[in-house]
This record gives sequence, structure tokens and C-alpha cells, in this order.
Amino acid sequence: MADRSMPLGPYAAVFAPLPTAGRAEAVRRRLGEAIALGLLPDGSMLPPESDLADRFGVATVTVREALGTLRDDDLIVTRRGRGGGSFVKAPHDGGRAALLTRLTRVGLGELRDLADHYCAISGHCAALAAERADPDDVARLRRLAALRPEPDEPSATPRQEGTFHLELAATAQSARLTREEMVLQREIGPVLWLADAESGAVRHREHEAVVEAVALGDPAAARARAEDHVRHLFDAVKSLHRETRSRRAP
Amino acid sequence: MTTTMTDTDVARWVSDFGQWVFGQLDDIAGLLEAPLSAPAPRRSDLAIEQRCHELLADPQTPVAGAGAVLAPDVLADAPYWLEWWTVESRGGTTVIAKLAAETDPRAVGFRDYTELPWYAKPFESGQRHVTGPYVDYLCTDQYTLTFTQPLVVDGTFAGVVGVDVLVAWFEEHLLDVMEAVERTCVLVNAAGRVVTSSDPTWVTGDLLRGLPIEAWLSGDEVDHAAWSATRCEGLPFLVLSPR
Repeated sequence: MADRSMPLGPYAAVFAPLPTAGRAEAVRRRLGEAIALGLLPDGSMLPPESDLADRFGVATVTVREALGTLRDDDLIVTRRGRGGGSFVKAPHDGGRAALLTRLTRVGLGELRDLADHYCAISGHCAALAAERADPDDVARLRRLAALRPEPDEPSATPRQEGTFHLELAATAQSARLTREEMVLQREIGPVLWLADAESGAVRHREHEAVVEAVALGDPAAARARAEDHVRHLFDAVKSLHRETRSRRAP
Repeated sequence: MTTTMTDTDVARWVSDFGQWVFGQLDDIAGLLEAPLSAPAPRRSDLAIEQRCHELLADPQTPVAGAGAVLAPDVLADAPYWLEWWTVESRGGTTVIAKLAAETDPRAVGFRDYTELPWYAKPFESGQRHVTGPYVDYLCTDQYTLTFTQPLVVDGTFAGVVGVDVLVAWFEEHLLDVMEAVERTCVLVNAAGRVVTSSDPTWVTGDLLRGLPIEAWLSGDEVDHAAWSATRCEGLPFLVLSPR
């Protein structure tokens, strides 16, 4: 079956079809990682077993087996009856430990390379958006930039960051750049957002600065603001990387 | 019999295309009237699969997606629902797939479609609407035009019916028409965004700013130093030609 997981946006890969061998284990690993990394936030409901089976391209019984293991690992809870379903039970640290482990496996050089790539994509999307945004686009970007996470919903921050960058790419009118933005978000998004949150910096104004340059139709300023923003996010990641590694050093 | 085409012919082609698309939407809406008039309709009552499959499978039609999107709480067994199919070519064969949309508001990846322009505009205006060209990152992943119109059952708004047309298809076919016209032709939407252009100075996706698009669309005779405009009957599009 084709991967048609529409409104999942950047989460689409979490539900993409799987290779044939060891499928229950593969389903468990894919969902388990997504939960550990915070891609699937605490309390959110998983699609029904039959939908998951369709998306992964496996039998319903395979999905059921995988969900059973996740339940044993205390990563999901399943409630029966009306309003029931399987709900994500995020690790107590919000996936921090899993993200940090992943981060220490990435070299600084690779981080720098990812930062370069993300800067190029975001910067160019912002510059094109400044040339091509119509008033409806500007209004939508302003609305997204003005969003603030509710204190009781920590998972809203990644979603708002991610959606803002995706909409910026879509405003550039480039399907290719938009797809590239999605790939980058899947690869590095959760680490970026964790590092940003831990740095304690206030980043909302940076989105607003990008939008204002886009609204003014100033491509050079929009590019510069977007690149600054991505650079600051990666500075936070590099600091976190250094701290994590030095804590592990003998 | 004249062999020279004018911008009026281009506008007529676009208009005819729109009329064909909205005719298909009338058909789909007609199929939904009976099931949605019954008390407590369910997802399985929506009998449009065959019609949508026919549209998507026919290589002569440019439809990349088709279906209906229901207003919240119209169905008894789903608060939000997209009855939607898409098609894509893979190595010469076409694959039609039902859209696996997340429709539980509590779930990850749920997106409240009632805020999106292809739903919100027909809901607010009660009129047909064309969204785009835009990057449809939720569905086709392509540069897309989405045609939608209100689905009204017993005088009540019950959602929208719609089809997606890839901008690439539209451009390829409209360019055949435009190339027979001596003057430069630029088709723009209501925001002044270029849909198709016969001159590489203006390219699909570019924005032409500072033009009296709204006045032109409402039929006012507005003289402009640089451009003349021709309306495309029934669509929020204009064919512009440099003077």
C-alpha cells in the first residue's frame, strides 16, 4: 500500500511501510523510538490497529503483538471501550535520556554539516518566501510565530517549531524544499528542540523577525534572520553535545 | 475559421476546464445527498468510492486526488472524516490509495482541516473555491490546485467535495493553448500568483504585486498601464497580457 499518511506531516516516516523480516519487532522498534524521542508525545492516541497495519504494510495481528510488547515496556497504555485506544506513555524524562544517547553518537563534524544543510534550506526558504508570500501567507506565518506553548503541554513546542518551518518552506512555493525540510526535521528536529529548551533562550522573537522580513518582502533580511535562528538552535545543540560528552568522560 | 488564438481563447480554455472539474464535483455531491439525508449516516454509507476511482484511474483526466471532506459531527461514527483517494504513477502503473488521514482529534498528527483554505473558504462563502497553486505538504506532496465546493444537504453545510489537480499537468496543457497566442499570456490567481505563463520572465509560483486583481475579478473596467486582463468565467483566475 502506498504511504498515504496525510496529515501526519513530519511524522509520516514513523508510520511508513516496513521490510518483511521480523515485522513485529520492527514495528515495536519504530514506535518505541518515536515515543522515546518525543516524536509521539505523551498522552497522544495511536491510530487504530487496523490503520497501523495498513500504514506499516503488515497484518493486524503483527501490530497487536508489537503493541503488546510496548505495553510490557510501559511505553503505551491501552484503554478499552468508548473513547478507548492505545495512548503514548512517555518516559518520565520526556525522552531526554534517549535523545542524549543519540546525540553522543553524532560527531561534532556531523553536527556542523547538519547545521550547514539546515541553514541552507531554511535560509533559502525564507528568502524565497519574502519574494513569494501573499497576504494570506504572511497572516498564517504571523499566527504561527505568535503561538506560545501552554505550560502544561510541553510537546506543543516541537510541534510549533516544526510547523513554522514547514509553513515557511511551503510559502517559498517549493515542493522540493518542503520535502527536504521534512527530512531534516525527522533527522534532527527532536534534538534541536530539546537543546533549545535546555538552553533557556527565548526563541519566539526569532520566528517573528523572520516573518517581519518576509512581510516586508526583504529576501536578504529574511535569509539572514532564518540563518541566525538555525545557527542559534545548533549552537545550543553543540553546547549540549559538549556537556553530555564531558559528563561521560572518565 | 481563424488559426490565431487570443487571450480570450486562453481564458475560455481555463474556464471550460473549471466547468468540467466543478461538473465532476456536482456528480460526487449528488451521490452523497441520499446517504447524508438519512438519519445518523456512517462512514460506510458514503457511496463515492467507485466514482472517485473512475476519475482517478482515467488517464485522460488530470485528477490527482478526489473525494469529500465532512463537516465535524456530520457522521455518526467519526467526528472528523476525509473520504478521499489519491493516485500516483509508479514505474508506469498508477496506484490509487485511500487517504489514511488521522481523524481523531486526540491523536498525533491530527490536523484540524476546518482551518485550511480548501475547506474554510467554501464554508465561509458558500461558493466554489480554488486553492493554490500551493505546496500541498499534507496530501499530494506536490505543487497543487485544489478545487472545492460546499456540500449542502437539506440546506445545511455538510462539508466539501473536491479534487486535486497537479500544477505540472495544468501548466503542460495550458501552455499548448498559450503557445498559439502571439501575445504573452500569464494566468494568475486571485492573489496575483502565477499559475502558468508563456513568458519565462514570470514563472509559476511568482507573485505579481500591485495589480488591481480584485477589481478585475469583480468585472470592473480598470485600465492599467502595463497589463490588460481577461476574466476566466466561473474561476478566480485572470489571463494577463502585457500592453
